[in-house]
Amino acid sequence: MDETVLIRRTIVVTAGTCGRASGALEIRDALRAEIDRLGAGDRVGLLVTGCHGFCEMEPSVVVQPEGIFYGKLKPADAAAIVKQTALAGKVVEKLACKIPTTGRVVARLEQIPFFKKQMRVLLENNLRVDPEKIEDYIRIGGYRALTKGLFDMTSEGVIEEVRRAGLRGRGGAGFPTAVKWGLCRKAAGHPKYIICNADEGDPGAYMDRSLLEGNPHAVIEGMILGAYAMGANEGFIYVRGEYPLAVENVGRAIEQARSCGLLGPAILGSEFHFDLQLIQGAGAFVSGEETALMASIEGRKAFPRQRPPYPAESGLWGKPTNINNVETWANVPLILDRGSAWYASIGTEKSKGTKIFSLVGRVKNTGLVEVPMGVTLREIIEDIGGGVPEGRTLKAVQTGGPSGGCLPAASVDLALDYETLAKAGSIMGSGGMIVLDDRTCMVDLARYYLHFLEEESCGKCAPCRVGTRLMSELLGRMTAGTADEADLARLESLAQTVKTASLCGLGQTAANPILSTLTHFRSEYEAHIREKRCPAGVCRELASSPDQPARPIGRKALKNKERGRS
Amino acid sequence: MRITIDGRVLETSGAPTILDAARRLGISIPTLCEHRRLVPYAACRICLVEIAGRKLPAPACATPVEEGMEVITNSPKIQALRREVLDLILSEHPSACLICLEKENCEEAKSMIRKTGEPTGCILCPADGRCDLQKVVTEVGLKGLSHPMTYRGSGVRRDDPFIDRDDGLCILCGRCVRVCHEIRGADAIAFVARGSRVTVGTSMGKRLLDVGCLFCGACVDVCPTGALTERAVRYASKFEEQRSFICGLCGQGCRLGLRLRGGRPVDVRPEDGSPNDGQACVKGRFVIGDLLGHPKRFVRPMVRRAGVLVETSWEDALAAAGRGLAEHKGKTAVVCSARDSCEDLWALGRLSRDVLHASSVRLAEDSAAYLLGCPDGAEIYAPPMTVDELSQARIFFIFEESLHLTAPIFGVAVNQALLKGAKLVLVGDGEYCLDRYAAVRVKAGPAEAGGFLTSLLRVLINKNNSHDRGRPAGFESLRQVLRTLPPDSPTASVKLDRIVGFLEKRRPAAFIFGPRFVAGPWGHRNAALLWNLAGHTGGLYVPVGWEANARGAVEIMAEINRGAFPRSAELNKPRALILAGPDAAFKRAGEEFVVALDAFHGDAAAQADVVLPRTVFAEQEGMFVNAEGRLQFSSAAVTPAGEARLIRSIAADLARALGAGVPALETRDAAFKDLIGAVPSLAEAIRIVRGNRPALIAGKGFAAKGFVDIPDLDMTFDPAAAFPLRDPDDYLNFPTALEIKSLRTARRR
Amino acid sequence: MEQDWKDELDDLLKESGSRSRDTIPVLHKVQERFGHVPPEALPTIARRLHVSESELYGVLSFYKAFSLRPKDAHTISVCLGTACHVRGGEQIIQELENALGISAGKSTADGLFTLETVNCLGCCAIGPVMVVDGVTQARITPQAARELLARIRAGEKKS
Repeated sequence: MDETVLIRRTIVVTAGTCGRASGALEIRDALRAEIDRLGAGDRVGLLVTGCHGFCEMEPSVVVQPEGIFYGKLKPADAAAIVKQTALAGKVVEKLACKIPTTGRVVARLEQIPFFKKQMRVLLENNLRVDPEKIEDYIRIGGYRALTKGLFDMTSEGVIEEVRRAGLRGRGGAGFPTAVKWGLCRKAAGHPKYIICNADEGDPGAYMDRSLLEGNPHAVIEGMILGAYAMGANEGFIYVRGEYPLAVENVGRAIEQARSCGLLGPAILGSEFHFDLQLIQGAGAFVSGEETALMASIEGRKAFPRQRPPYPAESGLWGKPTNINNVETWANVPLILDRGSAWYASIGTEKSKGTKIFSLVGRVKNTGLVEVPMGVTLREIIEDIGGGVPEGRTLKAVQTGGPSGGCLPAASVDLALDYETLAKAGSIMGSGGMIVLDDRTCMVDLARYYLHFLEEESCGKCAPCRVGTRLMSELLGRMTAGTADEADLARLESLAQTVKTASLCGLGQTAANPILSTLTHFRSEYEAHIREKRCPAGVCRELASSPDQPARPIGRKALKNKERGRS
Repeated sequence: MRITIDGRVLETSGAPTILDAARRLGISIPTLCEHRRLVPYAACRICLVEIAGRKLPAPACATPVEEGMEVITNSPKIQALRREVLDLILSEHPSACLICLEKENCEEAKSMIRKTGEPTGCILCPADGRCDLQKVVTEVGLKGLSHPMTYRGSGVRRDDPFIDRDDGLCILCGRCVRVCHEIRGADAIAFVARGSRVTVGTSMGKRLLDVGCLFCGACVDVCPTGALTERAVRYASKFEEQRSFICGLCGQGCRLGLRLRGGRPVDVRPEDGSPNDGQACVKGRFVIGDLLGHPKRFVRPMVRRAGVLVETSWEDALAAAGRGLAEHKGKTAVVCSARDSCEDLWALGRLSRDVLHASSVRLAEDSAAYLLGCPDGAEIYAPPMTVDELSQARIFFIFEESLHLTAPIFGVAVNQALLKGAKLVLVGDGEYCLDRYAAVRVKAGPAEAGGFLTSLLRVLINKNNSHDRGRPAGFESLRQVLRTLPPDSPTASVKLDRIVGFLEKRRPAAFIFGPRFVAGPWGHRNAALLWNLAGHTGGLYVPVGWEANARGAVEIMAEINRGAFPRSAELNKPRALILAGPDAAFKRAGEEFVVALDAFHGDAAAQADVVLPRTVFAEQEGMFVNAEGRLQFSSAAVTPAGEARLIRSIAADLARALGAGVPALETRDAAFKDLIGAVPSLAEAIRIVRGNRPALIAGKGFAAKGFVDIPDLDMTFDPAAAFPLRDPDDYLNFPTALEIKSLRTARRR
Repeated sequence: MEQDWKDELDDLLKESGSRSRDTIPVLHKVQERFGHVPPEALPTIARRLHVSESELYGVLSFYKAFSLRPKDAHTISVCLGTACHVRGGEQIIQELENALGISAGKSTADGLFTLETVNCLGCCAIGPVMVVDGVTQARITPQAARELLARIRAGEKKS
């Protein structure tokens, strides 16, 4: 009798939005066809998951249980993957990653430099579940934390556990989550609401998209626990309209949770009832602001309002409301399942747990990076990210999106936690981390951000409405070479006014891109103004440098044509 | 709570805003988007103040005080910030005048300015001199502009009646949008688009007429700039004086101020205080001037000679009237109007009863009587109720009333309650502007509604949770009657359970109804049903009188007639008529002698033998009881037009002409004393008013009266004989909404 | 024809919520079903949601996702997020603007293309990114953009 143990392998195809855009579904189809052709369906499984995070290498697969990773695939590669790796357990060297310096093949996930220094407590599940199947989530221990919280703990006990874990809001402000929950719980008023802010509007940040597409149940479980802790019976997940796959997967997950008795009346037979509604956003960055988001859920324009009163006291329809970010909610089941002591052992003294960063821009390995708090910028950019490609030099790192700031290359040994970043003049923000090299013009970058903010300003208060437009115009003149010294003084003055006088966070942080680039790269501004020169060689209308790629002037000419000028 | 503002200490309780607290200390903080009746908006950022311990300055209008708070309102930093914010606001507002080099010589240089269609600076703006933005610029001390100017306007919109809109002047303070939403409930305007493209506008840029605007003028009154203006007075010179008076165009009794120049009306502004607190409606706000001076108004007495009315002197006309009336003593019928003041009605009453020995004295607005709970003809009840109380109700039942037409201030109260979560049950066959707020919509006319009300009452009575401790009078007999009374066939869409459910959780209820609901054979029955419902649920019984003095008139007529109210037009074929009220039903049969006391050419004047011109409201002083039951004194805001005289004076003149002068009518004081000597409820109310408290006519409440029997349909009701319901916009014999073109447009007729 | 879309709208609204808080979900459904929110439909939708027409218009005009004009046959949305910008997103936009002869936010005269910009699609690692007729295309170069236009035009010619 053949005593060979038959190993059943699974080929995991990561098919989040990025994966699909890169051709992941075609890879899946090719693999399926190959498996069927070989009649190997009983020995080779196919699991289609959400985004894994090594986006640079999409479309990619991981062959389990060995964790063999292949990236930048083509449909023709399917045959080799099925035959050699899935069936025979051998590595296909030409498809595997290689160490850049030595050329050595590293096939296994944990050996790949991109993953080595990460701590993927949240993202690892994106590789283990098909987001369209609630059974997958349950199989890997999903909803276990809910059972524990609901039946073995009191509401206050849940908050206490979150407090001991030291969880802080992952949406940007880093406010201690347990404190926020406590305020909502204590507030007078009924009914109470909880909200998941999935209006991830920061350009360059997409970790929330990845979590929602790849493992929506983690967020749902977190919210049910939070609702139980705070005494809320109705919740909302507000997802950006620009994330159609996330909307689809979250919607399906909610329905599946309902049919399993995890949402609705008498959850898991307890006396607790709670239900979730998915709201699709409609294209406004400002609706990520707490009070604007609530206005949007109420069916109105996303105009922020003055705080106080804070949402915990008076939120949706005047009732106590708690709003947390996607990543914050996803951390909650983790904390309850593995314990606050475990969670608090990760990170630094004041910033506990992991943080997912979206590492994008001028870096070799772009993708989602989950690291414990306290890891340095250098470790992320060089060890995980593989450094700046094409032999260029690191210039700066933009963190925190349009509300954040630039950290110059000199601060590359900065530890990433809330306090350190704030002291350095930036913010953690939602985790966007855009790497910039010497081909990036900081003035152009500031102009880009201000243009974005001008478009997205809601228009309610004059400092932001008028200020972002004026600052955007001034920066436009600087990049076009028509600005003078007085313009720089005006820009700095406007930045201060907008920062101090605006009504909401959008306006109050609108000046940050300008202020932080002025602090660290003032000489670039001066070059643009005094010498009409762009050191990075980006601004077309300014003196060019030898190695800039050819760029048609068409856009400006078109605009002029439309305005009737020759 | 103890707080410090600019080093000065204030002890306060509650949670006022920093702005409130500062005002109490007499400290002035400039504002633009703040308004006392609106929820703080904090958009203009002008009222920013420093708070010790806080990184960013906070808006004083929206920040509640806290124990130990230390506020600085006027540090150099704050002053500089205010100038910068204002600078930004002005960069989007035509500010040429601020930076004009000829500023000092403006008066001389002005004559050289060509009038442009749109303002480029203050001098060309309709709000020059009364603009809040100008005041803030002066207060803040901004002398110049730092930013390039952007013109955001799209031209002046003139395609609506009464109101001009110029969004080039708009500073986006939001007051207009907020007042339209929070106070009036019309939601005709909204913020449109976003960012630098935000404007205040309507759906698809439609006219206000096409988006449900009620033209109440509230937005014009709160606009701090010239963005919203009243077209008729756009460039009018400043008024010289403003005189307070009570509007007479409906039963709300709004306190208005008539602004005059050279003694002639310029325009009107609503005044603060009860009952309207700064609000009005399209009529009170915009058409009073047109009404006072309308071409169809006559101001000289006329006598019919050879079939034609000819102008003549008072002496001549009074003599003619005296001769005619003297022949028919005892066979004269007198028609009064519930729009007239208590003194005027009393004078007519005394004349009719004591001099003419008239066969009947009655109100043209017959339904007024039905409204006030006189089905059994014995006494008037319907306890008084203030607008504030109405706004505290948690569920409203409205029957056949378009509140914006007949009771706009009640409409404001309803809107405010609805915004706080109150429910609305709307009953009626037509379309109403509150339609979109109705939680339950019962499509039934006044006849069928009785069935719905009976069913509702029956369900509630059987639930046996009467409001008062112990059963009120009439409970058992009512329950018996309800058991036997078959309901009329209810309309299909009645959702009784929902309504009963609402009533269980929401108290008090308010039952609002008007003449339409009780003018018919179902009148007594409907009123009785509502009375019983209001009583049983501990709610408000709110009859909406359409006339300025409906309540006072009913009290006075009751006294004059000693309670014997005719139930239909028992004119007993009079030989003479005095028409001091609108009587469209009247058709001269032939030989009657008719004296008309009127102000406008219409049916009455057309059929009269003698026409005597009377004053209209705003020209007369007098006492009025509004639909709340509130007694109010109105002064004369303007001298009577032409030779028009007060009704009271005309009554005294006629009495003299008949050789039986009534001393009590000769002066206002005498008439007043005579009146309150005879009508105890008015006397009591006046006593209270004199004690400086608001006085409401003391009507008998449910506690005293208990349940009433529900009469059957009145089969003797003769629609031909009853005075028909006039259009609520009519004033005396004058169809305001047809004769005044802009009002006709605004009413979409 | 006119009556048909009115009936379709009524059917859609019958299934939808009827409170003011349902405004955005309802507008999404209408936008999806009709490709835009027909201005003639505004009074009907407002009535269904129990809001005034101006309020509804205010909400609609605030959010970028809703349009009052029908989109054209092919919609190209180019991402202008920071990561895409840094990787040359501006070049893609310019290439397309040149090739189509219009600027972003407009449609071509022949009604074939609408060109838009979008503020971050969340595909930052594989930028520059654009969405063409609902399909996300990654790592776009100016050449690829040109070729795509040509393919679409050729496809249209055939049909």
